[in-house]
Amino acid sequence: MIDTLAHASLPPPPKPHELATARAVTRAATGEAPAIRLLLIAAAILFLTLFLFAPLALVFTEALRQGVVKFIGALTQKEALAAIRLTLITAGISVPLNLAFGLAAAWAIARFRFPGKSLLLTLIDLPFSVSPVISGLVFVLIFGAQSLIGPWLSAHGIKIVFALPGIVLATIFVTLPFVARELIPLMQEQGADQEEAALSLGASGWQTFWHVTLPNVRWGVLYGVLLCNARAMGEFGAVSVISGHVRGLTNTIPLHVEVLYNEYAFSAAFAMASLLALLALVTLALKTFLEWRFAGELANGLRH
Amino acid sequence: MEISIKGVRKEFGSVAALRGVDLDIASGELVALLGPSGSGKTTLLRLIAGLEYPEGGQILFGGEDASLLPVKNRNVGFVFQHYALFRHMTVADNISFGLRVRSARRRPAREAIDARVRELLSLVQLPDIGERYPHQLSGGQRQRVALARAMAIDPAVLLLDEPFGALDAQVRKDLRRWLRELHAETRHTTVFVTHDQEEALELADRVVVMNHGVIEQSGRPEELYRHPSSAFVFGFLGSANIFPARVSAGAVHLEGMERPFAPAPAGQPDGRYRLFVRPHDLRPTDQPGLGFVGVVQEARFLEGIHRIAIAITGRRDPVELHLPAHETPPAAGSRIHLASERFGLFAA
Repeated sequence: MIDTLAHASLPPPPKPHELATARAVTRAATGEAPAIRLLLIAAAILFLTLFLFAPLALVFTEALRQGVVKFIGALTQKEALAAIRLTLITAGISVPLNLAFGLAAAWAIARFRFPGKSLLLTLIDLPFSVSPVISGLVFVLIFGAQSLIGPWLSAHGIKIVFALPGIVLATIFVTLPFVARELIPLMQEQGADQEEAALSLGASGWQTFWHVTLPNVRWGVLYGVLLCNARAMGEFGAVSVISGHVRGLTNTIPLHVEVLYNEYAFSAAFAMASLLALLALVTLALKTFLEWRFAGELANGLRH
Repeated sequence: MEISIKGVRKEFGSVAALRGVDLDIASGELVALLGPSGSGKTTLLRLIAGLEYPEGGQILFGGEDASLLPVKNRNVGFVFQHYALFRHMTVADNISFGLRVRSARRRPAREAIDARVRELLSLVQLPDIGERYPHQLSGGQRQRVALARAMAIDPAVLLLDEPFGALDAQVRKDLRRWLRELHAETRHTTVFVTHDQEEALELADRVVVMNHGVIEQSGRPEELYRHPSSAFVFGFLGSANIFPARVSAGAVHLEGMERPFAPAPAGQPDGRYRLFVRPHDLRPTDQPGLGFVGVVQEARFLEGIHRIAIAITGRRDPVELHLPAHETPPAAGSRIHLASERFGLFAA
């Protein structure tokens, strides 16, 4: 009896043809005429081909124009190897430091209220809004021979400008936002509940961080590190100003590409450039994989 | 363990969340903190847990001052509104977390931990889900796992923040009964926060009604319902018809009504009041002289009760009358004469 009453009060299920009409109506409301759709798609493809695929393809064809042997030869030159090593060292130092900073900053911003919080948020974004050349120049002005502490530095034999420390500093500055920017919205969205739960169960601060906080943001961390690394290896402007372009000593891969190009060593330049292009492709593939596999565990708001 | 809260104050910036709260919770008691949002009930719960610290006053655990003890040293089982299960850990790992993070000296052996997890899983009636992850569970199952996790550390007190808030009605009812039985079995001192008066009245040994950062009234559910001490408690627990009224010459008059509503309670001073009367305390009557007259607008039948809306001249909202199922509801449009001997009078 009660059953029948309950059923009687429900509206009858829609018949199949009603559903079909409903679907047709929605499609018409959002769709465009076929001709316009085709035109838009063609324009998008043309644009992408012209500005993305063609240059990328060109890098690899130019790099391999004189054969694989020359290509490998160009990459194994003494100066090329020095550039590759310097790039790896630079990224190897600046990425972990930015990882640590990004985690700390994101944690502080997502978990606490403190005076100057919005200022900190703005400052983290600064490297995105400042031209990299200026970032490099700033460090030259701080640590260069003409600066206040320049004489003191040179008196003590500490080289920062035109040396590895300067390059690392400039790279850290330029890549500073990547990890923090990825983690802040993620940690804000997740809230402090799980951490509070861990603490209430008797875990220490470190145990909470290792067992709860970090595992919850691990894919976000990886994503941020990936982008940070790509930028650290590819940075040109800031590093160019502060490195002094000393061949075999302070040239990173991007700088070495420019040097070779200016010397009309095109195929060598493109060989080096293809390394960076390859890095970009690998980064892109990993990034896409992360976004596809762990979409729910990455910050939803921000994509770079 | 008994808990004693003495004159506790808490502010967030310039907003006072708690303004001097005193409360004693006996060992083994099941207490509900009931109030609307912003009443301070969750803040009080978090203060007991040690997730916040009071600005003034004391919180005693078994007679010892725990006011400034950090949460990790308080040995409380806290169940969060959205459960806060560790989503990258299996259910078993979630439950054993509190035991595994102990220092080597206090940590039980692995077999003992496994046994404890099995025991807790069967206690919350989910024996076979140890290997699953939180996202594979339903809301009600997550709730129970969260409870098992909190109980794993043998807490001095169990604290539950809106334990059924995120569940649908049927699951909520089942879980309520289950929690009641579980408490009868384990006798953990338990405090839970809710904004749902039905939940508080059904589940708790004692209900503490909070409003604007203070305790309005505290007592057994029936006592609160029958003898609310303030207009707020009367209105918050169950439904009520509210009338502007005045007391003069030994009688209560509703504003705008010619005849008196009822004789004034003994010792009630003359003056203006707000009169509260529950829908089921109103009665159709033939007795002349007392009560008021209205016109039946509509009658609906829900959960075994006739719910009748009655229009009264000079009043915007209809008066609500509840009649038991076996009585015949008055027809719509008919005049009806209502009176009541049970009502509350509170200063206007």
